[in-house]
Amino acid sequence: MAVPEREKVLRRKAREWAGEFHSVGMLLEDAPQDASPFTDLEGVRILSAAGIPASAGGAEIRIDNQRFDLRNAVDRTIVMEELARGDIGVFLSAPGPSMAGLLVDILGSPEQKSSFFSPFLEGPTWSCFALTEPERGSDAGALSTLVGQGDADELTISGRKKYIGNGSRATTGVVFARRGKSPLSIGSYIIDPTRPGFRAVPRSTMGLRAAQISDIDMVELPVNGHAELGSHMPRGQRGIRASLRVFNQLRPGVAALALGVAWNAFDVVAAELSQTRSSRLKDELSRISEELLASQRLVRRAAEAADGSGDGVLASVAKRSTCRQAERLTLDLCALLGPSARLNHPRLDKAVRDARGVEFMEGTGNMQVLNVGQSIITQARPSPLRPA
Amino acid sequence: MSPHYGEAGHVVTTSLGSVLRDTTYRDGLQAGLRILEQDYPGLCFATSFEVRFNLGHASIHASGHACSNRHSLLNSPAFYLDLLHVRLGFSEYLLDRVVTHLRGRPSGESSVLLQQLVKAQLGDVVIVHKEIEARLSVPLIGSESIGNLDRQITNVDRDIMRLFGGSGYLVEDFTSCANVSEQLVAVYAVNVEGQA
Repeated sequence: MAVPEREKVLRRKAREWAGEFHSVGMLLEDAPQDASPFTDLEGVRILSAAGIPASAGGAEIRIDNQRFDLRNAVDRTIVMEELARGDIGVFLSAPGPSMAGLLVDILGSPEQKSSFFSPFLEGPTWSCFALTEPERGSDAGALSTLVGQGDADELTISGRKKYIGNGSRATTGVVFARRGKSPLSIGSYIIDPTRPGFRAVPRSTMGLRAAQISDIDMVELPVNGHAELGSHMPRGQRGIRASLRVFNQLRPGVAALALGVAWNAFDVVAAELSQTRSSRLKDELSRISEELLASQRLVRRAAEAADGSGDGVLASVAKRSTCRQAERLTLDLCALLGPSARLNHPRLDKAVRDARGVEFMEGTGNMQVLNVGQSIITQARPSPLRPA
Repeated sequence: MSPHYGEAGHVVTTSLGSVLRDTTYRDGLQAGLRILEQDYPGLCFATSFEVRFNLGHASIHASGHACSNRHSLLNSPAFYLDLLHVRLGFSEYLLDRVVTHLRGRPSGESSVLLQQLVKAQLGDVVIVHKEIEARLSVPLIGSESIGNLDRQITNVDRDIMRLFGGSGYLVEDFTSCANVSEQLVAVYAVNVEGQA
C-alpha cells in the first residue's frame, strides 16, 4: 500500500518539530519535575494548542498549502508517532489540551469549550485526564469518585485517582465521577486543580518519567455547577458511553506512541551500526524497519476507522500489537549491539523502559484482547477485522 | 535441601544451581547474587558497571573496578549457568509476588486472580519456567545458547510484570530488581558481546 502524499508531508514536518526532542528527553529523564524550560521547542508549541477547535480559537495547521487537523485521528497519530520517535517523554510532558481536550471537544457545550480552551491560547497550560482509580483500574463502571452538592450553585468532587499523567502539573483537566449508583450517573467534569481540595503527588516510574504520572486526592474539590461535560445533552449521550467514542479516538494515538518508541531505539542502533559490514546485522535492521513500517499501516487503518465509523476494535488491535512490538523490538535492537548495549547507550536503555510503560495507557493489553474477542462474538454488522 | 512448593505451585528442585535458584526465589535477587559471589571467589563485574542494592532496590552504577579473574570467567560455562539460575529463581519470586498481588485485587464479587484470562497467563508463565528449568539441566554450549536463554527469562519476566498492571511500572524493590535482572548477563559477563 503506497503512503499517501499528504501523510508524507505531515510526517516530514512532524519529524522537524521533534528536532531537539532526543536531547531534551534525556534532560527530562534526569529531572522530570519541571518541563516549563522546554515549552519553546517547536514540537511542544504545536502540542500546546493541538486539538483546539476553530470555534474556540484554534488555528489550523498549514504545510505546503495543505490543511491538517490534529483533532482527526489520522493526522494526530502521524504527529504522535514522529514526536515519540524524537522522545516520548517530551511528548507526554508537553502542555496542551491533550486527552481532556478531546473529551471537551466532543462533549462540551460552546460555553464549556470556550472557557476550557482559552487558557491554552494564552500560554503553556497543562491538563490532566483523571479516570483510573486505585483498586479499580480503568473499570469506569465501578469508579467511586463522588459528586456532591457544594456551596451556592457549586458542586464538589471527592475521591482518589491513580496513574494520572501530568497530574502534578495540571491547572485544568477532566475528572470522571458519579452522582449515584446507576451507570448513567457517571459523568466527566471540568476541574480546576488550583482550587483547595486537590492534591497530586507524582510517582517514581521505571520509565516515562517526564510524564510525572501522579496519584490524585480530591477532598470536596469545588467545581462549577455547570462543569459536567455534555450536560446540555440527554443523559444517555454523555458519561461513560459517550466517553467510549473518545477512547476509540485516543487508542490509535497510544499505538502510535509505542511505534515511536520503537523507532527511537531503531534510530540509535542504526546510527551505531551505520558503518557495519556484517550482513547479518544489516539484515536484522532491515527486518525491524519493515516490521515497523507495516505497523504504521496498521495504526493508520485504526485511525481511519476511528475517524470514520468511530469503531475502536482496530484501535485495540493496533494498540495491543504495537505495545508488544515495542517491548520486543527494543530488546532485539539492544541485542544487535551486544549485551552491554543498555549500559553504554542511555537513550537505548530509556527506550527499553519507556516501551514497557505504553502498555498501561488507554487500557492494558488484556483489555484490548478482550475488546477484540468480544467484537468477534457480538458484531452483527461487517467486522472491521475482516476484509471487505 | 528438600524440594518445596511455592505459592504458584512450582517445585524448587535440588538439582545443579538449585541453591542459587532457591535462595533467589525465597529471599530475592540480592541474596542470590550474594551466594553467587561466594561461589566465585574474587568475582567482580566484568564491565565498568556494577549492581548496587539499597533497601531492597537494585540499580546499576558506573564503577571503576578492575576484574582480576575476568578471563577465567570467560571460559566458565558454569558461571553463566549459575547466573541464569539466579535469574530463574528471581522470575519465580516475581510469579509468587504477582499471585499475591492479584489475589488482593477485587474484580466484581471475586478477585482478579480468578479471571480465566489471568489464570491462563499464569499457567503460561509456569510452563515457560519449566522449559527454562529443563534447558538449564543440560550443558550450555556457546554464547548463543546463553543469549537465547537470557532473553527467554526476560520475556517471561515481562509477562509477569504486565500482570501487575500499573503498579509493576512504579519504582519499587521488585520492579527495580526486575530491571536489573534483565541486565545481569551484561553487567557480569561482557564477553558474550563477542557474538554481536
